[in-house]
Amino acid sequence: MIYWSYMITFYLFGAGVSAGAMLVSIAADFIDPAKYKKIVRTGAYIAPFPIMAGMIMLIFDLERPWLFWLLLTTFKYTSIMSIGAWIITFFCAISIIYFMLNLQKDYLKLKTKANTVNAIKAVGLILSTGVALYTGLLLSTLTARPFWNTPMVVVLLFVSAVIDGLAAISLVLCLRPDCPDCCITAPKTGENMNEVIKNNNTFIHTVDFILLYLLLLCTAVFLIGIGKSTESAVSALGIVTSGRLSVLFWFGFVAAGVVIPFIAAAYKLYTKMSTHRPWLNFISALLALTGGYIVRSVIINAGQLTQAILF
Amino acid sequence: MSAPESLGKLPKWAMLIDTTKCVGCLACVAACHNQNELPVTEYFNRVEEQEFGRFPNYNRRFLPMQCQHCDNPPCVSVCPTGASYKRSDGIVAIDTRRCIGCKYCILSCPYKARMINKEHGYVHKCSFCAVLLENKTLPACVGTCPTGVRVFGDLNDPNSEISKLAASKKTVQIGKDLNTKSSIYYIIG
Amino acid sequence: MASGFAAGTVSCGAKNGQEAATGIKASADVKKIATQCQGCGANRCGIYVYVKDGRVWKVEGNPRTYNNAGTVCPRGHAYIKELYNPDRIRQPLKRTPEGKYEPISWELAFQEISTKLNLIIMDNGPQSVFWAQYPMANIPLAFRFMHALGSPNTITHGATCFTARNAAFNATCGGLPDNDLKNSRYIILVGRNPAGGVKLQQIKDIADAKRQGARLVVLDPRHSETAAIADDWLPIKPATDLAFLLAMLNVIIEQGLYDQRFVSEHTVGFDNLRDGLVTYPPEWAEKICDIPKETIYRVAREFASYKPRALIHRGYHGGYGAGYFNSFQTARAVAILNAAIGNYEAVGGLFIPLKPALGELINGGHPAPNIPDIEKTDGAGVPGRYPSASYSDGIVHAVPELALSGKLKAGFVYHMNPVRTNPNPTRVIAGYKKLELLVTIDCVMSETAAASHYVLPESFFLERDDHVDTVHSGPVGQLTMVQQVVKPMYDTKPMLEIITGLSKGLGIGKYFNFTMDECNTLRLQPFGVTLEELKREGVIEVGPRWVEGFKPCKTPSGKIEFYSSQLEKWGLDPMPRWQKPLVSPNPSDKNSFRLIHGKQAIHTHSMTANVPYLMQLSNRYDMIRLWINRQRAEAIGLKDGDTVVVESDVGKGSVKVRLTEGLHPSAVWMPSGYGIFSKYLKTAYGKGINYNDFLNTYFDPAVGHVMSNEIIVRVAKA
Ligand SMILES: Nc1nc2c(c(=O)[nH]1)N[C@H]1C(S)=C(S)[C@@H](COP(=O)(O)OP(=O)(O)OC[C@H]3O[C@@H](n4cnc5c(=O)[nH]c(N)nc54)[C@H](O)[C@@H]3O)O[C@H]1N2
Ligand SMILES: Nc1nc2c(c(=O)[nH]1)N[C@H]1C(S)=C(S)[C@@H](COP(=O)(O)OP(=O)(O)OC[C@H]3O[C@@H](n4cnc5c(=O)[nH]c(N)nc54)[C@H](O)[C@@H]3O)O[C@H]1N2
Ligand code: SF4
Ligand code: SF4
Ligand code: SF4
Ligand code: SF4
Ligand code: SF4
Ligand SMILES: [Mo]
Repeated sequence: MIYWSYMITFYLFGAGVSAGAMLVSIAADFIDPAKYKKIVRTGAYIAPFPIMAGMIMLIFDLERPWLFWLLLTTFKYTSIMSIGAWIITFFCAISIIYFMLNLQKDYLKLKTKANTVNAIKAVGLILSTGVALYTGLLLSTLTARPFWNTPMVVVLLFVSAVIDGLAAISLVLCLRPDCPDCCITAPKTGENMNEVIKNNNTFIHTVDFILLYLLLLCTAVFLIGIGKSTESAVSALGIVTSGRLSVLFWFGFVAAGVVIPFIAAAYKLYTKMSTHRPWLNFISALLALTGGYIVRSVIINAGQLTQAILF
Repeated sequence: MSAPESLGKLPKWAMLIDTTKCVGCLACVAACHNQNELPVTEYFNRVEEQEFGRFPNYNRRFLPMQCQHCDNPPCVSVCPTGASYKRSDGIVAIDTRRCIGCKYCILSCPYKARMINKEHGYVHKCSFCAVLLENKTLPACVGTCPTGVRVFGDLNDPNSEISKLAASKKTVQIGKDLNTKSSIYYIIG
Repeated sequence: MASGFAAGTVSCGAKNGQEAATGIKASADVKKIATQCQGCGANRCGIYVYVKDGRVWKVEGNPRTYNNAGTVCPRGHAYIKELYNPDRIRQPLKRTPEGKYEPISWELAFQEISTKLNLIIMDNGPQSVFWAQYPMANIPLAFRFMHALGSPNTITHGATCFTARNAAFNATCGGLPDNDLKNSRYIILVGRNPAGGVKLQQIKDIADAKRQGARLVVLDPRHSETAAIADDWLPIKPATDLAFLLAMLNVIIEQGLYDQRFVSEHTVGFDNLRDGLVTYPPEWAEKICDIPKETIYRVAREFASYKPRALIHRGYHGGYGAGYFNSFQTARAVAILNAAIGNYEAVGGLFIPLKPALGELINGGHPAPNIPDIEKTDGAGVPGRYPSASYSDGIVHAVPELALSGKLKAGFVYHMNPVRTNPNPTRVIAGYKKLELLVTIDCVMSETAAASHYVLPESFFLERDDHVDTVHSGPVGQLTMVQQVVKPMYDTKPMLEIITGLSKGLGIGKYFNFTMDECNTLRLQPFGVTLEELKREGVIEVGPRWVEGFKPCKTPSGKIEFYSSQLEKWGLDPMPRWQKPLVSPNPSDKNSFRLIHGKQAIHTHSMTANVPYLMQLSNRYDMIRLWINRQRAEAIGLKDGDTVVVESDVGKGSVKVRLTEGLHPSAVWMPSGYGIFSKYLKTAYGKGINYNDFLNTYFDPAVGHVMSNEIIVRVAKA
């Protein structure tokens, strides 16, 4: 029986993209704000939105959406969903502040104290990590669902969230129509555009490669782990690998979500992006995002189709 | 136990289900349906059928299932609004007014005991017939069972039939490894 | 029961958040009224119906009625809601020449029906009229009506259900005994499944006996629901129980395990029986019935070792009620085996139930019509035709034949649906359509109603009072009754008012000059019980309690007859001997099976498939499936859940299969509650198929029963 529809998948996906984008942005900012400023900014610009769309989806997946406010007048520390609702609320707030912070540099020209900025980044880092972990924890804590009830789901969804955030950034960088060279803002005089692009791309591809490699490992460990656990988990695996979810799993999850982006990232790294190919970035980012959605879709559905107790 | 003590002690409601007596007639399912005035497609209890062996050495088992009123109920811990709660007499109940219909509890329950009410959108389930208990009447599914599969009572009362049976018979809790600490004890032949 | 608990307290008050927690509204107005369930005619369990804010809510079993002892089956819970089924008939209907049904007033209906009936009786005599009904509490009124008209043709469902069994027990011990299951130590069920063909008292008593250590043996080609709690399931080849039982008798007699004192004092024909049984050792039987000889030896010895506290259940429909060519002799063997261990009128054995004789209406000044001195048109109880058949049951599936041959011209069908429950619908419809006048009294448009000239809607059982009933009599007499719980919703009438209305125009009004209350008061007179008491209590025990000890039988010899000279006189086998079934599957055809059937606890014959909740259960538990042995199914390329085409020389239909290890390979098993084809029954219409669709019209030579399992079908993937 399916209780959580595609809307919940989208909600988890949106949360993952937002948290991933924010994480990547803050991380890049930490490493070298000037060098990776495009990544920093694009990430900040993306972060608030997918998760808000996801929240709307979540509300409409409720059987009684008009009682949604009850989520925000209760805090239950035993309920990952309750904790998550609060984390997400705070995340939304901080992501909007972070968004403004990045905007202000260019447009608002406001002055913010360095300490405040750092505090915001620190909180943002914590909250985005929280959100990225939450999507997995929401599922993995349910002992009733063997397909979910493994720490690998948390790791997998966390890694996938960062990849998705990265892909979203990469996509937006390619999408900017008035700037074929992936500039979100006009280059400052004297800046070497090619150098900027190259730096940012290298960052993305390197991180992407590492994370995709991790994802590949996680997926393998996750599936093997399930295959070696309880009878009910094995039956869950059956549904995924040869049952009604198999097409989605092999083509969406494995091929689009993991293997192809991994090969693309490897290729891009290998060629050192000597020639810049926005279409390749675009396609592989899109593929990674689609894959990220399908990964969640497969996990959400497979988990619901199986039970710890087989009757 | 002396009178004042037992008077002061809250009951701990529990059920014992002897599957070796169950003939899968579904009377308990139909009784529950009326008692709780459920729509045609909704139900709080069900009877699973299991088959064993090969002809002619074959057997079947009927296994009634419903909310196990867990003492460590995942449905309660996951509920984000506190709509699902555990009463002091052991019953796991739902305050439907606080239920937002997120279905997290449904997914958390290993026993498939919860169900969405189509008309109102809240989640509902077996209440151990709490309303009947207030009037010292047995749950509807218990009273109707022709073979006496179901024994209901107070585990805190050492003289109750259920306490005695639980002490004398070999019982199991389904899904014990999930640490739900269910309040339904099964005899499985 | 747990300490401090009462069953049957009025309970509705919902306090402190309960309303929210349970969805049950607080402080509703709840009433609790004692009556009898009519979810099946067989048991008529004593129940309390709860009415909440004027709406029927739920039922509880009456703890004191014999047939259910406080419990209620799933149909009982669901059937009360039929009150609100939109498919109910709301006023009398008359068929138009185009075959549609239009409303007609009661007065006009009574007038038209009696005018037509008078003409028919004038031309053809009263024996051209019949009344068919499942024998509910009201049956004395139907007898009165028919006898007043001068017709002997009161007919029950018996020939489709149990007449082979009844006739055999009548021939052997002069009546149909009950089983003292509760006190028995060793119980054998031969094709009896009280968990599916529900009798709550029996399944409860079996469970109680088992708690006391009794052993339960189930002989059934299918792993029945009762087999699930049995010690032994013996998957016998269908139609061969007689061989098994003869071999058991052989062992018990050859090895001297029988009750010698009982046999010499209370039975006749033992020597003839012993001589006849030499040909039936277990070595012979195992080849016929597929139960290993060791098992037959063991069961025979165990059975005898518990004598007299052991019994073979008297049976009902499935094993030998009306199933096979050899059913009559099979039932004879069951009766004889019980007698051989001396369990008649013994604790833990068989006993004749103590049915109280109700008061007579004549005591209130109401004349009694004479029983017509004419033979039954269907030949039941008529020497040379069906001598051993029961006069009061008749042969229901002979009605279409007799209508086609012009011997029957008019009929009433009350609380029965022969068009769906008799063999070969095409022929049944043709027969009933041939009648010049057919009046059906029902609550919904059954298949039979939909073939009638007039359909008269009876008030639903919750809306009426019925005749006082003695159906709960067992070890003590019990009086019960159907009592009105709510006011009628539509323009319907209870049965007495319907026949009273008809009687005026038929010139028999003087026989129906009383109300239901007057009638019931007179019925209760001998017991010093008032109608108010009965209505309040729901059940009242009357007369003595059963005590152990042999009582003279109502047989010619007054004893139990192993050898029946009466049967011999009628040209029937005086002693059971092996008879082959009428038909058998073709051993060289992988697709050939015997079609057997049985009840599911959630459905009654043809009458509950239209109950939305019960049909929902059928679907949820995927119960509309034909059972087939896994190995045989796989040999013809079937998977679980596949749709198959089932075909016999009578009919064809398709259904899903359930592959199972729990069925004898020679048979397929079909649940008997589906296959409704009255398009007026919207929930049930077209769901599943029924064994009658495949059954030829047979009349067993002894009692004229249907032989409902003498069906060979071909099963193939659709
Ligand atoms: N739920 C429910 N209960 C009912 C009724 C109902 O309609 N529904 N009707 C009532 C009535 S009127 C009746 S007659 C009874 C019927 O009660 P039963 O006679 O107990 O019921 P059936 O289900 O017809 O048959 C019982 C078993 O007989 C088996 N059987 C078939 N052929 C053979 C055979 O050759 N040998 C043996 N040994 N077994 C065989 C079938 O597999 C089946 O499991 O139920 C009564 N109770
Ligand atoms: N298809 C099929 N045929 C069978 C069987 C089967 O299981 N399935 N079983 C066989 C056996 S064992 C038996 S005993 C017979 C039973 O044969 P029937 O007695 O013909 O079977 P039912 O389906 O019980 O029919 C009862 C009829 O009474 C109507 N009825 C219900 N309540 C009331 C009421 O309050 N008043 C009135 N006036 N009518 C009412 C129902 O609508 C239904 O039309 O059938 C035999 N044939
Ligand atoms: S009522 Fe009793 S025998 Fe029937 S299904 Fe329920 S528990 Fe089993
Ligand atoms: S059985 Fe399920 S619904 Fe009932 S208390 Fe346990 S987890 Fe909660
Ligand atoms: S569906 Fe209702 S009861 Fe269940 S977890 Fe959500 S709010 Fe709580
Ligand atoms: S205890 Fe009450 S609510 Fe629970 S299954 Fe039984 S009848 Fe239904
Ligand atoms: S056995 Fe069931 S349907 Fe039949 S009278 Fe009893 S409760 Fe009603
Ligand atoms: Mo029957």
